[in-house]
Amino acid sequence: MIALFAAAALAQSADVAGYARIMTRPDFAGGDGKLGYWNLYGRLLNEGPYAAVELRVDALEREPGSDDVWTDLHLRVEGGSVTNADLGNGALSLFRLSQLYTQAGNLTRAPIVWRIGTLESTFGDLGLYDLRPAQLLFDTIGGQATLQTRPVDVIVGVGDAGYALKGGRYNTVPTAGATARVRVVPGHLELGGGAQAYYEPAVAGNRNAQYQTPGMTYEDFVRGEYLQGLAEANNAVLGDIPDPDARSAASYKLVGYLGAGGGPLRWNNLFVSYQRLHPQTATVETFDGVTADLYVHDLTDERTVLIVGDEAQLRVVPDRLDVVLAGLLGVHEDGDNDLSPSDFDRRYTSLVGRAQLYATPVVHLLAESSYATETSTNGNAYREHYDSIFQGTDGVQDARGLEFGDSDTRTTWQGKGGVVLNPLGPGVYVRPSLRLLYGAQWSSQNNAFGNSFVADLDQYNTFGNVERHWHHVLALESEIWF
Amino acid sequence: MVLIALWGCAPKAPAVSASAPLTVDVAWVAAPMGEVPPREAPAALADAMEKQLRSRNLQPHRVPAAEWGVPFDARDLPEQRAGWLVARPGAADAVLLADLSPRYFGFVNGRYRWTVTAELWLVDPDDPTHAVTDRFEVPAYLTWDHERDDAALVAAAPLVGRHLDDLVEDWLGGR
Repeated sequence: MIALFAAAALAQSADVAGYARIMTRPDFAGGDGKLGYWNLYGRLLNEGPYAAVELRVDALEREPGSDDVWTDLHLRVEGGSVTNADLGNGALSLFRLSQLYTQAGNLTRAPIVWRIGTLESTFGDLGLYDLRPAQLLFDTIGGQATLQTRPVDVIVGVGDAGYALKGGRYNTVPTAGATARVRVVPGHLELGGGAQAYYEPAVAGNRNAQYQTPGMTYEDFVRGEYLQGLAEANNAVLGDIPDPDARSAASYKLVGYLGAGGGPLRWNNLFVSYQRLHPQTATVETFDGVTADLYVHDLTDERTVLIVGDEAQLRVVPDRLDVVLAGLLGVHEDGDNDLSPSDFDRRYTSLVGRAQLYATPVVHLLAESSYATETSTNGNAYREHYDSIFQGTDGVQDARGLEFGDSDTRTTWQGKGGVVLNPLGPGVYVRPSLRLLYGAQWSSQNNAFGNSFVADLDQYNTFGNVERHWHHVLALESEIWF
Repeated sequence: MVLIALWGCAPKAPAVSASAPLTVDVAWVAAPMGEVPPREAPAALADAMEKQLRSRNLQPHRVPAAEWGVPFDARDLPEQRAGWLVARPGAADAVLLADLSPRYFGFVNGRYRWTVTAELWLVDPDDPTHAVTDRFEVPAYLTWDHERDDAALVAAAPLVGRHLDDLVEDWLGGR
């Protein structure tokens, strides 16, 4: 793919950019090479390999100082697998054409860039987490206009988010969004905000549209026992399944941003996002030889996500020591679910700090630590011990219970450190980076990392069970933006 | 591994330098996409490049934007700008033009990616046939949105400096 892009770049005015990271982390504890489950504990040592290549082709070249019309094409391929580096073994099926759009500028006197294809508007990145809470339109195919002036940037986009939100159950979901960024004190203080709304109209007759199957409760949904209950209520073999009632669906996302910097504070990004998730379309149940789509709009239309994230980069000793501090708060609520723990009913908080000492412009020492708590707000969700499957809330075993494990909270600490070689010089986010790192994790959850352990307590489990709260990895890795 | 590490401690080959100090008139030109006319490149980049020149026994004399002539006003080619520098009365032993044009590429995996198109000219005013030039593009990745053209040029400085080093070596080798 890179060769193809390079050939295209040579054939006409074009530019190739991208990103890659690859690592080996032999894991003698039986893990899959990641220190913990996810980047809530800092992305360092918790992410796998990744590669992205983006091509920009100038159909009408843009020239400095010119007000001539210009247009270009962007095309990006990316994915998270590399040969011999992960389970996917570099399969191309794990890569996707994630962005394709055409831009044009100088079409009018106004400084507007017009874009059609995949859209995006973001206020920036929480680098330590590799998260972008204040991002809109990323799920939309449509048209976008970007007005960029010195004091204000405005982005407006409209299009269809049906494939992103519904995948194989595609139904048109018209959406519109806008963001504005104001440079209150250029280079020192910025404010921003934005909103995106989605509306999926009811389409009677379209099996991929939104409906609600009558009489279905949340417990039916989460247990997958609606058809069984229907058969038992009829006291007979499964009869006619009630016709679903058509629904329309609406959802939205709001984002806010505050950026500030000056003096030793190079920059601080504060992001807030609040999202009402789009309802799920259907679930599939099979009972007594009958398989049916059951529609769950009313059971999934009260899911919200609040995320607050902050990251500050500090120049403590110029050209010698930089520090980055970040925090993340997440509140996921599901107003329809009072029964079972799920990713839609949880809260988490996290703090991450990284210090990078520049022994020489090229040789750096890195130290990072994180502390995070994740709490299920609908009962136990984590196993603290290998035999905790026997415990429910209040220590009472419940074979029909919907809880899992023996705790509603997972607490995780990670510490990482090592040597970094940065050929391009000092900077926490200067790349390429060649890193030799050691990482340790303590978690209240047993074996809190991707692994191949046999977790059940079956008497025929010939591998036995392991109680382990510490995890260590040694990593040799590289990362580059190009 | 130890042997390789020790080998890495061996001194590098000395850089080629001018045998006697040479004065160089230098114009650091920044030509962002939407701006007319071009302006001086940020001081951080110019300072870094001039430090490199001094290490080659070249004594830079910065030609400020206020002194730039007609070819710097509009969309003229770097070649024309270099020609104007060469033709200035009282030119130094050499003239160096660095014509740098930053352009935003896009948001790539959490970073703001810029492309800096650069054209360098190093010319002997007494013998304009003794000229070397290099046109190239280098990437610059920025962390924050508020960092724009100037920050992209500063971020690209290490890569531009590498090309400048090669250019100076070629030019000195041809004397």
